[in-house]
Amino acid sequence: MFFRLVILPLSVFIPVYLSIIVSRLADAPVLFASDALPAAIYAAVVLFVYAVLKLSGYRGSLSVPGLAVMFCGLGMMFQMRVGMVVSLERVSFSQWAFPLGACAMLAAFLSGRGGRLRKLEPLWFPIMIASVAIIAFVLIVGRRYRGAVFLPGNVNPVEIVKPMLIVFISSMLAGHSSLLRRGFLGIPLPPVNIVLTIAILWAAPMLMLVLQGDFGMFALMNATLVIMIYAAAGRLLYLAAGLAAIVLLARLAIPMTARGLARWNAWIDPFSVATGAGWQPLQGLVGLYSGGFFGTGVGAGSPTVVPIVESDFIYIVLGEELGIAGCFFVMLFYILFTAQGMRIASRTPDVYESTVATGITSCIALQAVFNIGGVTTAIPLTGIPLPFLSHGGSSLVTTLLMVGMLMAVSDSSESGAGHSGKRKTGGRRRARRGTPAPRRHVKPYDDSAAGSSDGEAAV
Amino acid sequence: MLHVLTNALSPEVLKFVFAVLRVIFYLCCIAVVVFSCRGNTGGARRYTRGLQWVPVVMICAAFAAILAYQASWQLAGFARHDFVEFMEIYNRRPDNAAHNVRRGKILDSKNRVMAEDSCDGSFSRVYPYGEAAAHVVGYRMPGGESSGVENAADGILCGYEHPPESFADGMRTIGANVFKDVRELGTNVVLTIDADLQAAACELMSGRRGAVVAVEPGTGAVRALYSSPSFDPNRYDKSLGVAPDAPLLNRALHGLYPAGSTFKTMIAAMAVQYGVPLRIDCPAEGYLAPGANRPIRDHEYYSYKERGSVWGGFGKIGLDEALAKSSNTYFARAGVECGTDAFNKTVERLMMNERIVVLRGTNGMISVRASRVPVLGRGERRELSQLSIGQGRLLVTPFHMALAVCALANEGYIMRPRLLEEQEPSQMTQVFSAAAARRVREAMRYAVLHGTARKADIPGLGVCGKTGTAQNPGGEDHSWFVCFTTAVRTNLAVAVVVENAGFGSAQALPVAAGILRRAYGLDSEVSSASVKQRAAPAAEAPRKSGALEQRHADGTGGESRTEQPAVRGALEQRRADGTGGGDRTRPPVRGERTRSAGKGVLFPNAGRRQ
Repeated sequence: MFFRLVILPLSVFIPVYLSIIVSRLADAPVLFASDALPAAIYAAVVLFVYAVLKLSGYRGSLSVPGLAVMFCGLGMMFQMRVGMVVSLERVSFSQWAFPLGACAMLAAFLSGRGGRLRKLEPLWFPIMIASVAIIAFVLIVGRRYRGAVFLPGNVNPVEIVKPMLIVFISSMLAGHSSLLRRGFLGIPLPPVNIVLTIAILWAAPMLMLVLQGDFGMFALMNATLVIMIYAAAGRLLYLAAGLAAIVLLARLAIPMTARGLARWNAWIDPFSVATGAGWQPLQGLVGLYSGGFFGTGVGAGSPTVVPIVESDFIYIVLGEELGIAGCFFVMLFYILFTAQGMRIASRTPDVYESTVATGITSCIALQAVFNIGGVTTAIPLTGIPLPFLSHGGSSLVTTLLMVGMLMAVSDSSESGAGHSGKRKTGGRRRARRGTPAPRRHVKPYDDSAAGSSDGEAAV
Repeated sequence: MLHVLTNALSPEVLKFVFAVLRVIFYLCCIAVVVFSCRGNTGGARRYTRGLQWVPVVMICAAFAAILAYQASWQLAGFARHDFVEFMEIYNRRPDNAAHNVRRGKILDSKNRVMAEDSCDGSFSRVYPYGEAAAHVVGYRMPGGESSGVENAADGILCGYEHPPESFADGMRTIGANVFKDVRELGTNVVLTIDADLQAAACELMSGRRGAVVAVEPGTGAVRALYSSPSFDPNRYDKSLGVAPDAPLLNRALHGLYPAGSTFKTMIAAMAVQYGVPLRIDCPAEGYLAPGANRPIRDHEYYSYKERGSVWGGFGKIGLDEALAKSSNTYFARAGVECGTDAFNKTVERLMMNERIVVLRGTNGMISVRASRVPVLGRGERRELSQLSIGQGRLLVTPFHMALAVCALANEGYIMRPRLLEEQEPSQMTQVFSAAAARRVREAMRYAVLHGTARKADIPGLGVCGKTGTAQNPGGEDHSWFVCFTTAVRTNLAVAVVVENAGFGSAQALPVAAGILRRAYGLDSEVSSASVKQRAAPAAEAPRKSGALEQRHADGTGGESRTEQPAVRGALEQRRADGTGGGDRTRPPVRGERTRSAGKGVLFPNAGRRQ
C-alpha cells in the first residue's frame, strides 16, 4: 500500500520536479521558497492520504487513489512549470487545490464507504433541484469570462454539478434498470413512461447548461449519461445509438452559436483563421511539433507561447516537454484509471453504486478524451479542462471528490460491506412508488458465472 | 554553491540532465502502469457484472485514435505544408521547429546554386546571384510570400507537388524523416537559366531600365531572363513594391513596349511567306497608306531635313537592303501589300495576344503577359501601315519578341518556352514556313554585316540581328535589339530592350552582343578558330549531362531527353545547307537568296514572285 500510494506517485513526481529546478538553476543561481513549496505540499498530502487510508482500513482498489494522486502531482508540476505557482503569500489554487481536493476525496470516501453512499439514492429529487439551482444561481450572479461563467475569485461552482447529476440520474437508472433492459431481438424497448420521466428530469439541468452556453459540459454529461444507461441496462444498442445521437447533435448544434461556429471553423480549417480562432490550437500544435518524440525536457521548452496554456491546453506542455512518449503514458494512465473505475463498477453488487461508479469513471475519462481530442484538433474544442492536470481549483476538487466516491464504492464492494437491510428499505420504497423492485443482484447481462457468484457476494 | 551549479550547467550538460530525468520519468511511468494493471488486494471470487469492458475499449479506441492523430502533427507535422508555413511566421519559440524543414534548392542549368535555405538557422533563403537573378528565381519570405520560380515551383521545392504513388510510399517517406534532425522532403529544381548569362545581363544593363531575354530557339530553354532595375532578393522588403522605377516589375515578362523596328522582321517574314514582291520602291516622300493623311517616311528623310539638305530616297530596294537600313517606307508598303488578313493570321500564329504560361505550379505560375497587337478589320490599312513598322497600337513584351525571332531562327517554329530542365521541349506553334524564316534570317545576317546592326557581328557565331528604336509617348525612344546566332550547334536568340535610351544600335545592341559573347565563352578575345571547338561541345554537353544527372539523383525519371522531330529536322536542314557548320563568316551574296528562298516547301511561289 505504501509503495503504490506514496512511492510510485513520488517516483513520477520527483524527476519532473528536479527537471524544473534544474532548468530554473540554469537560468539563474537563485532558488525561491516557492520552488520548494509544491514539493513539500505534495509530499505532505501524499503521506496524509496514505495515513488516512491506512488507518481507516481501506480495502478497495489501490490503483484509483494511486493514479489520482500521481496525476495530481503531475498537474502541480506542470502548473509550476508554466508559472502558476508564484509565491507563498498569494493564495493560488494550483498549490492549495490539491490539499483541498485530497481532503474532499478522503471526506467523500469516509462518508460514503460501507454502503453509506446509497443513502444518496432516495435524495435524487433534492439533488436535481439543487443542481438546477446552482446553475441558475451562477447564471444570474456570475460574470462571463472567456466564454464561461464564474463566481468572484474565479470559482466555478458548476463543476460540482457533475457528481450531483451523476448521483441523481443513477437513482433513476438503477431504479428502472430492468425496465430499461426490456427489449426484443437486441433492440431495447423500454416503457415509454419511464423514458419520458427520465428524459424530462434530465432535461431540466441540461436546459440550464444550454442557457449558460456551456456546450462542452452539456456534451460531456450527455455522453456520460449514455454510458450510464448502457451500464445499467446492459444493451449495446443504447451505447451505439446514444453516441451517434451525440455526434449528430454536436454537428448540428455547435455551429449554431457564434462561439461554437468560430470553434467549428477553427477545427475544420485552422489555417483559414490562423490569427483568430485558430491561433491557440495551432500554437499548441506547434508546441507539440517542437516536442517531437521525446520532448525537450521539462523546463526546457517554451510552452508559455501558447495563450492560456495552463488551463485547457496543459496537455500541450506535456507534449512539448515530455514528447509524444510522455503523452502516451498519460493516455495510458487515463485508460488504466478508466479500466479500474469500470472494474470497480462491475464488481459492485449494488446496481446504484455500480451506476454511480460507471458515471464517475466515464465522466472523468470522457473529459480527458474531449480535452485531449480538442487540443490536438482531433475533435472541435469544447472548453473542458483536463481532469487532474488543468489549472482550476473547482475542477480539481470536484474530480477528487468523485474519485473519493469511487473509492467508497470500491471499498464497500471489496470489504463485502453493505448488502444489509438497506436493500429492503429500497425495495419497500420502490414498492410504495408503484414500480417493480428488480434491482439488487440483478445482472444487466445474465451469464451463469456471474449468477453463481451472486449469492456469495453478500458474504 | 548555486553559482557553481549554474555554471556547471552548460547546454550540453543540461541536455544530458534533461535526458536522464526524462528516462527516469518514463521508467517510473512504466512502473506505475505495471502495478496499476496488477489486480487488487484480495483476489477472492467476487461479484462480476458483465459488459463493463465495452466503455473501456471505447475509451481506449478514442485515445488510440487521438494519439495517432496527434502523431500526425507531432511527429509528421513537417509533411503538412500549411503547418510549416504557419510555424515560419508565427512560431515565437527561440529555436523554431520550422527550421528543420528544408526546401529544395534552385539550381541553374550547370547545377550552380541560385537559391537555398540558409544554414545559420534562420529561415531566410540565400540567393548567391542576388540582383542578377532576382526576377526569375524570385524571393521568398518566411511564411510563403514569394515570387518567380520560388512561387511557381513551390510544390516541387516543398515536395508536395509530386504526391507519393501509394499511401505506403508516403508513409515510408514520412517515416524516414520522423527521426531526422533536418527534414528534406522537397526536391531541387533545375532551371534552364544560365547564371553566367544572368550575371552578364546584370553587368551590362547596370543603371538602365530594360529587359534581357535569351532563349534557345531549338529547345525553348530560357537561358536568361533579366529585368532592370533589379532588387536583392536576400534583402527583400515590402517597400520595394512602391520604389521608383518599379524594381519588382519583371519587365522581361510583363513590360509592354512598342516594338519599333524589331517588328519589321516579322513583317519581312510575312511578306516572304505571302509572296508579295520583295523589291519595293522607297522614295523620299515615303508611303501614304490608303486612308492616311500623313505619309510614313524613312528616318533619313528627317535627319537630312534637320541638316538642311534634301534626301533622295532609297529607290527600289530588296529585303536585305530594307532590313539593313530599317526602311519604314519599305515595310509599311510591304505590310499593306500583304493585307490585314495575313497580318492578323501572323499575329495569331505568333501568339502575341495570348498569355503564355512558362511554368505552372500548384501555388502560382510564371507567365508572359499578353502583348497587345490589335486585330485589324479589312479596311484598316492605315493602321496596318503603322503596325508594320512596329508603331501604332502595338505593345509587346520583350519575351514575346524573343520568341518571335526564335521562329526565324528555328525554321518558322516556336518551341514552347521552358524554365525547368525537366520540362520536355515541345513545339508551340508554327508561324512561318521554313523558307520564309531562312530568307529573313539571311536578311538579318545582312543587316549585321552591312546595316544598322553592324556592331553585333561576333566572329564564328553567325549573328543575325535587327535593331529597333521605338517611339513612345513616355519620353525618349526605347532602344531595342533582337538577334540570334545561326552558326553554332546550340543557337541562342536574344532580345534586349533598354527604356528611353535612344537608338537601338547604341544601347541595346552592345548588351545583346555581350550576352552572346558570354554565352559562347568569347568574353576574352578568343580567336575564331578556337570558338568552333569551344562553342559547340562546351556549351551543350555538360549542360545536358548535368541536367540528366540531377534528374537521376532526384529520382524524377531518368529517360533521356528526346529532341522533337521538328527541331532535329531543322538542325539537319541547316547543316545540309551549310549554315550549321559553325564558321559562316562569308556574307551572303544577293544571288544566293533566290536559291534558298525557292526551297520553301509550303510556299513555293515565295521566291518565284520576287
